[in-house]
Amino acid sequence: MKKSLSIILVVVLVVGMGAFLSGCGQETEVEIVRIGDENGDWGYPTPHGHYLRGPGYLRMSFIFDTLIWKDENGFVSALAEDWEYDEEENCFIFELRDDVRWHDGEDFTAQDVAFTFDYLQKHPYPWANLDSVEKVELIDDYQVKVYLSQAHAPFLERVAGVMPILPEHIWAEVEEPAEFTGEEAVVGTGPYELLEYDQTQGSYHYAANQNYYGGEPIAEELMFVESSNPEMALQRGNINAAGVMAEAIPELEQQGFELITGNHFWAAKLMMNQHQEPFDQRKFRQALAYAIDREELVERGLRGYGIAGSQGLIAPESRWAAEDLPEYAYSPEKAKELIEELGYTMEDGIYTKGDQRLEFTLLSFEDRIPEIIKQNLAKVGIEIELRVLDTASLDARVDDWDFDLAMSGHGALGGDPMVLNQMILDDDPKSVRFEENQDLLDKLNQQLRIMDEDKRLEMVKEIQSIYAEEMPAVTLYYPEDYWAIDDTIDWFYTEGGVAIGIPLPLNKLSLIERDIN
Amino acid sequence: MRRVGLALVGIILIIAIFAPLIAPYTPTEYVGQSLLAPNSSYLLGTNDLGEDIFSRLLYGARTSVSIGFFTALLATFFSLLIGVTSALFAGVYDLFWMRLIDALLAIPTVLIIILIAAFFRVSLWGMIIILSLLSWQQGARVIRNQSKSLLKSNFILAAQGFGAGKLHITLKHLLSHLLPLLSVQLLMVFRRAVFLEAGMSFLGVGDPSLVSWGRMIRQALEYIYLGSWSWWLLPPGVLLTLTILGVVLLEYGRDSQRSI
Repeated sequence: MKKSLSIILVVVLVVGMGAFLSGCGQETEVEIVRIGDENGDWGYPTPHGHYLRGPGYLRMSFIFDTLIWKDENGFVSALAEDWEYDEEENCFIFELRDDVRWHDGEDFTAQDVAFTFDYLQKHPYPWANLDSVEKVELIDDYQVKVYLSQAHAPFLERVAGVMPILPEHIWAEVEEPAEFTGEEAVVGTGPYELLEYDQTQGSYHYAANQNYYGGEPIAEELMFVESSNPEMALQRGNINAAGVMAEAIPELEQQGFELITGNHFWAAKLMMNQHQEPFDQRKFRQALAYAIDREELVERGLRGYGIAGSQGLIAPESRWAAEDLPEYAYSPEKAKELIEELGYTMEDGIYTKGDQRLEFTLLSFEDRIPEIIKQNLAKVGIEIELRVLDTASLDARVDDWDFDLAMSGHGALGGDPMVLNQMILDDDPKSVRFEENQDLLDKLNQQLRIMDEDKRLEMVKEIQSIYAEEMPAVTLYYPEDYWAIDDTIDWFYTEGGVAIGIPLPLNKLSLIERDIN
Repeated sequence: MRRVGLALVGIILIIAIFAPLIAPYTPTEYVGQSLLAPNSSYLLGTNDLGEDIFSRLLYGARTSVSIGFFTALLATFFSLLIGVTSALFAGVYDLFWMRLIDALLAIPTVLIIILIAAFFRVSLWGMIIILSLLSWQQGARVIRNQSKSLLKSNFILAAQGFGAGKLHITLKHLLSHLLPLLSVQLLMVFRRAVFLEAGMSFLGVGDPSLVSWGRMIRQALEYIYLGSWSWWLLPPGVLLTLTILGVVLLEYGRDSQRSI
């Protein structure tokens, strides 16, 4: 008995040792890339599971591929090898790759693409608006024709380049996509497969998809970890890349980190609840624009690392930006004048009309800039109480119109000007959801139909000037965005931003030995 | 011991009361370039918004002291009210309060404050009220027990024999005998409130525009890699420690005096 036990023990030890040694052999190839994030949780990494914010989409984009994608120079092929627009038939023809497999080993075919269009029309995915799609026709196993009901200029950038393709054999049965989680829910075609998502820790852990059609993933494993002080975490070597504060640049550079920066394609906005007095008055909204010193926000709040907001929303360096917009240069006098025109009188330093006093709560995801806004508004007789919330709660309150003022923001300002439609009309907490001006509505609608770029630009400029006039939200500033990266991965900023224009350097192509083009 | 405590608390009180006179700038004023190191015009440099850290430090004492003071006053008042009435009326009334206190003591304070702050706006006064509502329980129980034993003492029985009413007994006899207990109670709540406020501000709970030591520590931590900790992070930490230490020494002084 004793003897047999020791034999078993020896066998176990030998086998165990062997496994250990072979594990060591692989170890040399294993490379984990860790990315720090101050927020941590951005939702479950499926199309309907992630929070509708850039970082949420990015976490999903490592798993699910789109028809086409973008790199630092513009469109590149992804699941579709080739694509063209047939003006006569008003349709896009996509030639798909025939060497793609889903993470579970099934073949990817045109059937999946047709299914995804169909599925996302039934269960809308807000970031890929399919209203313009009339029908999808399969030509053969690897060719689809997408017919549009009317011309839709942003189709490539906003549908083909954003819409994650789902496996029909899994999702056909799913009725509640937002509730669908588990191993099957994260089967995609992307370069990484999800190992673990931990909502409370705010961490995402992925393993490389060795059969990725677009080239071999450089890192064996990829992790997003919550990091409240990314500068420290970088210095300690806990993470390989993170967005950092500009002040940390000299020190981080000295330690050998590379600092990269993108364009000003993210804007902070002061949202106003137009369903409530006095924000339903255009004059009052304009008064707020005059009252807030946006130069001071940049100089003092961002310590110079950014540019003041243009009231047309689109960042001035975008090729879609309008010049000659009303400036609303800082003028407390002008602001007071406008408020007084609305019938308010100053009482104890606060403007009052009847029993209505200009006292509001300002919700925000941070506390420093709102502090300056509070001081600015105090000078024009408006009293502000600050409340700091996490992004998800802030978005939820804004979504329910349960706020007076809210400081929020969004990216996507470098991509297609369809962003104007989304940020003015869409039912989304980042959008001002402003439908008062019929002319604005018509023009927004029209700009999507103009396939000629120059003519479209004219229309987009007119939209910006109406927006600036109506002032549904004050565009506060565009911050400079800095990422510190070590030498593991060569992260880059995508032309116009990733997918719909996410101004972060986390493009999945950075992680691939690229032979796509 | 007591003298040291008195001196420490005295200094903090003077800072708090005369902050506007001592401070070179108003705490929310944009005085110059942000993130400056200490120099002759800004004794402790400037913070990320270009505000004078030294002035904010002085004004921070105001927040701490006023929260400590008013919370102590309010909570001790609740303790006294509930403690004495429980002792006097006894019976179901007493039972109700004592069981409620048991229940309330079992709930972690910090958690409740975070929960309340998640749903309501918490201003300076809001914080004082919340802290008071969470700080009277222990005191109430001690006062109730002390009053109960006092009520059995001969001089009160005698007064009752002469026909004294409940109100008369409370005002004339109970209160004067409860005074030492009340002063210990005041100090204890004060210390706890100062500490809790700093903790809450550090966690980012409550009014973000309040100038508070806890919030200063939180903000300083964000820039710790700049080496600014010695003039931005340390001073509020030291003042907070000294305030609490001062109060502890006062309490200790009271206790040792009594035991002699």
